[in-house]
Amino acid sequence: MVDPVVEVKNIWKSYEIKRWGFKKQSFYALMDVSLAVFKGETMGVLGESGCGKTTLGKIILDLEKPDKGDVFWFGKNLKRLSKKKYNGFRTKIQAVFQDPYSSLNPRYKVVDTLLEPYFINIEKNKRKGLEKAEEVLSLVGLRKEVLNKYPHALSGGERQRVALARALMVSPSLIVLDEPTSALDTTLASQILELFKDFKLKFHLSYLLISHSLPVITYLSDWIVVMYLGRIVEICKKDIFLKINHHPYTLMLINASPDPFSPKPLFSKKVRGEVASALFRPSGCEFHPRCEERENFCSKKIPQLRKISDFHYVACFKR
Amino acid sequence: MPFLEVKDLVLGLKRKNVTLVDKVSFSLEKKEILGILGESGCGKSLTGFSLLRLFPPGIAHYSGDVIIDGGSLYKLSEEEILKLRGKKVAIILQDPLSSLNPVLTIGEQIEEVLKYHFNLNKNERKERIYRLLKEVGIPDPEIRAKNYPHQLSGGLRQRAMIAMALAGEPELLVADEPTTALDVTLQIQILELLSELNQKKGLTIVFISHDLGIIRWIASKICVFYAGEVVEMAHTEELFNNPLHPYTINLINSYPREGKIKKILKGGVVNIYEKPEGCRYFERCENPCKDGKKSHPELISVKNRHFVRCFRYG
Repeated sequence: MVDPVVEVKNIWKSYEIKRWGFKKQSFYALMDVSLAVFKGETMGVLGESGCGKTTLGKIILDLEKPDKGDVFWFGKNLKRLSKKKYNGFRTKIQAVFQDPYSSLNPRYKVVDTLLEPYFINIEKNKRKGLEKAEEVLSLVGLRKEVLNKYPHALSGGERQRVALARALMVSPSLIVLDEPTSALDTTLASQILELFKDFKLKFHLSYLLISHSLPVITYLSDWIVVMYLGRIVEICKKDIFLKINHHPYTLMLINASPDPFSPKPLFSKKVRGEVASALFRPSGCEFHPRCEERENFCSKKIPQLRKISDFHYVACFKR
Repeated sequence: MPFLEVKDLVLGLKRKNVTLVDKVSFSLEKKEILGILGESGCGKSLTGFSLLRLFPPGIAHYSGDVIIDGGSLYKLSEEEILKLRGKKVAIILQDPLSSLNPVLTIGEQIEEVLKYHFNLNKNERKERIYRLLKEVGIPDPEIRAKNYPHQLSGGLRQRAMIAMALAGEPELLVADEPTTALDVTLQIQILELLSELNQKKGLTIVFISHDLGIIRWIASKICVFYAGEVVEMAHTEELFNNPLHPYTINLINSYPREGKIKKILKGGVVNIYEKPEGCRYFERCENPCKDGKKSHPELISVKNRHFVRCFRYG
């Protein structure tokens, strides 16, 4: 069987915060998370703020180490990877972040931004680097005059294209997209999404798409992962997304997302409450205080992710 | 006579030739919700602020008129306008964390409004605060009124902001992207609250957003802004079923629908310093007309209460 590009197995990650200056309290941002992204596939991670989706992205990028559990790149466990091999794989996993204003160095011209990863990871050859930079820029739909500009001279959409170009400079296999379009206007967002889809087909790129927006996720993903308070509550294939019996939380997200083309009116009064704080985690199923279908036992036991079909996994007692 | 009328509103920067809002006119009946739709930098927020005669620094010249309930806003003196703000028109802003005062409790901030506009004693004010907080769906108002903004979660903060805006019992509420900083499940709760206020208390709302989906469900009438001017205006159903302006058509088609995007809108927002002399949408238009190159189209009425700024329908 083919190894997945990236796989995480039973990841736990906790953070500590200081309360009242001296008392330390730790909380779990991720609990027992496992998933795998295969070549040419897009995994969409859907969830509200504070559900651990960005932490998951960071762990896959190896910017954070998990407390427990393993991360595999191309089937190799990161814990047992030699430095040399690690560096070889490092370039294959890239990222594009949410805010193109803060993720580009304001003192670097676009050309420096693009060449830096190339010089470090591929070779220190300015002529070839520039060739590659121009090629990549034309791929993302920018003219080469942009090379000599600073980020502040570019608009939001252009900046996000530069950020994408920077990720493409080292020919990655997987790009972690952390809310790539939420800082952009609707029209610009659809242009950027189209680019992602294009590259996916052209270069067989894999993505881990992190977003809170249902239309973005359904547009780009092959698989949809729904997270709530650090746990995966549902995994399903995009193709069957509209046909299956979802986790109550997923249903809530679907109800809450304002779809201008839906035949049903938006306001149905079905969405209640807020995401609980990870510091005060509800007992049992984390979602039960907001759940419409909760039963007594929901607050006592934690539901595990169960297989419903080959393309659908749910963590709920009632499914 | 409409409740709110904006007539030829022009706002410009110091340099005389740069106009940010260009001859914007619309009117609104009482109890209606007007949705203002547009990309960033198209002047939609400025229009919202001008309904309270609040201008951000840098605005050097303005003309036109805003008439609320028969009274012109731009003919009043500065003191008279202070009496009006909060009492007749109120505004809620995008990011409640940065627009609430961090060193005052929620209760104190609401009290400030009550002190200014009403002649109430301390106990009456307190009761009024609790009632307001309850009305916007904040649980345990007695405790929450003593909280500082940072102690509240995002959703509660935005609710507190709405409570503050409602404290003066305004008739018109300007909501400037009130849900952009919130999660989807909170967003819908805030939207439900606003539409409830509209129905129960007869609050007139001007709702500014760039999200097609939100505007579609909350507004009864929509203005589409492009580069500082209204390019299309119609009732919600009419606009979505029968969009006329090429910009509106593309805007609707570029929204992901059932996992597909019908059409990608090319190009970016128009540079406000180099506006084309003719039709402002000319460069992004797919089949531009000859007239658009040189002359500027006017907002024309195509059919009953459907206005569009395009030569094709002239």
